[in-house]
Amino acid sequence: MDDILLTVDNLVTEFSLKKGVLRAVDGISFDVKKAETFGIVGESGSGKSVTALSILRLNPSPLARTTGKILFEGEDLLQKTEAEMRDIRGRKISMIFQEPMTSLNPALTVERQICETIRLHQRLGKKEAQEKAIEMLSLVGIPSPRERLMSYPHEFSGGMRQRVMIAIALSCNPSLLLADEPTTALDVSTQSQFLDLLSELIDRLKMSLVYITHDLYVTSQICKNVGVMYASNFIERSSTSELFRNPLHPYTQGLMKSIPNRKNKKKFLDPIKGVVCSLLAPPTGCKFHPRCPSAIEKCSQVAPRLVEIEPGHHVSCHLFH
Amino acid sequence: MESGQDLLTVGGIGKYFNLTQGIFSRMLNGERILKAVDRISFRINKGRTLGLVGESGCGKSTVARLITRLIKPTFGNVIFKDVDLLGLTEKEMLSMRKHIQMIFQDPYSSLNPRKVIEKIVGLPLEIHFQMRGKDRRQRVIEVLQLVGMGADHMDRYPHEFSGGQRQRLAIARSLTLNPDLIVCDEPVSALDVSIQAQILNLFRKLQDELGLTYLFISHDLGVVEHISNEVAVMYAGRIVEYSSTAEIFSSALHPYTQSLISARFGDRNERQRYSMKGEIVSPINPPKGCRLQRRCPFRSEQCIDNEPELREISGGHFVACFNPLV
Repeated sequence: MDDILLTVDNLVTEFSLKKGVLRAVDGISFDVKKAETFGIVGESGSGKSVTALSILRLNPSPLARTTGKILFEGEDLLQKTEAEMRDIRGRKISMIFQEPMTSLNPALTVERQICETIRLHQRLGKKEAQEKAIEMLSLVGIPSPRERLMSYPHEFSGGMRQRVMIAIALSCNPSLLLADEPTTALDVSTQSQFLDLLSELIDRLKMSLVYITHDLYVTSQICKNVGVMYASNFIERSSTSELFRNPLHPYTQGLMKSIPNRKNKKKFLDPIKGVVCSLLAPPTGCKFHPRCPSAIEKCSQVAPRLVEIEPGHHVSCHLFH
Repeated sequence: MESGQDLLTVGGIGKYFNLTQGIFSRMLNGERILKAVDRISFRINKGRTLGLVGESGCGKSTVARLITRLIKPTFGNVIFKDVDLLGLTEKEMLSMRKHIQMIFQDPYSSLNPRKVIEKIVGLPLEIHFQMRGKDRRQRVIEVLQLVGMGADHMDRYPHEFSGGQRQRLAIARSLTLNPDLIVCDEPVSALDVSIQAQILNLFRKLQDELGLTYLFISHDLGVVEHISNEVAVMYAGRIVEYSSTAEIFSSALHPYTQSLISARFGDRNERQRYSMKGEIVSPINPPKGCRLQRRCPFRSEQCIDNEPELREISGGHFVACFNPLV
């Protein structure tokens, strides 16, 4: 299994709150090969962001407790010391976030922010780091990179700031990039430019990508494989093409029906009834069953497991096994 | 007013913000005028939905606030049910607000967190009819039921509800006075996809049952295509294209409209063919000529010196472009 870069095995993340223990991630498993993209799709509260933060061990401790295995380049990240993790973050595994204005320091120039990462991990001198920073800005398509190096985040538009974030994330040539809803705050045309840029970069740099989003359409553009998350579990996991060709889980089907269908225009959409359960007091059995149009008696009693139904296509649902 | 008649006619409305600060700034840099909305005209017939679509900063939210007179326009007129809203006194406008209501994007900031639902949803009744007590509670229950909620929600606070539920409450509030027109400013953008679908269905159901007219503002083309009868596309304070929804999405004539549609729905080839280079132009002291000149792949000489006006190309299909896609 030489070409697998990341293996997440039964990842569980719990938060100790005053109200009780909240299990935000409930046994997530997936693999990402080198230069491959994996999408995690889910609505708010599904646990997808916490999953990414857990991989980099960025959840607030001791509030958060993470168990399971996260094998990166063959080593378990959950066994590493904080110093070892600091060495990995930004250098081997990088992350880009949703809101570029709050993830870039508004009081520091772009130069400071890119060079900080470079100098921390690569021990370059000031001038060399700056040259590298200019190279990165150029790579991500910022016009006049030399002139813009000393600009502040607020002097860039949203789309440009997001590119600066990519520049920072890629400056040390990581082998894995985690992207948490990076296009949600962007306009549709900026979003598509951004996705094209990201595709091009991961091809060129042979980088792996875990892309977190609520937008199914975006996964079809950029992800080879995808896992659909609902209330802390993967309910379906397969290649993206297979998911769109043959969505099996009622929740996946419900998500697709919630989006207006251009070819089959209907006056009323077919939404999933109800709302997501509370993770502090989830229902017994399958967490989705109160909203599921196909629920049977077993669903309220026994929680289903993620099982391979067809080659490469995993579903967690009693209707299938 | 019968269905099919003009409920709202907006004529050449504009909002300019003067950003010039200080004498020295004015001397050195000249006047800095932000033309947020720059001569917009459109009409909506009773019982129809006009979708207003555009990217951030195009002025669509400002249009919403101009129509409801939350912001004073710099020029233009807003004729609602044959009355020019801009000519009314404050008192007369207050009375008009019974007929024009607004729903906002963020369900977390549009409901007063310190009041119970009955007070929030019932406030319009208190303001316009001095209604309190049993009568008001009765009407509040009625509108809550219209949006799929009920009497047991009345004495709770906003924080006890999810985003989707709060948006339902905001819709209930807007229905209390039986309005004719509802201006919806990105009403589903902050909601999850499955909840969006529920709320969009609710909008449809209410339009059918109550004969409502909507101005539906959104940056989401999929949503706009689903809910609108007609669509107006905005860029940098101007309307660049206007037609029926079917026409716009099947045969967009303006390069900018097509770039948005391709970006959202098209494959890679289509996206590259129609994409606009660069970023949205600043609405501060916009350049002479078409505001898209620096980005448009179809730009010609004409586009640099002259600003294209909205012209009818084919029945009911208007474009502001010297090189429309045909």
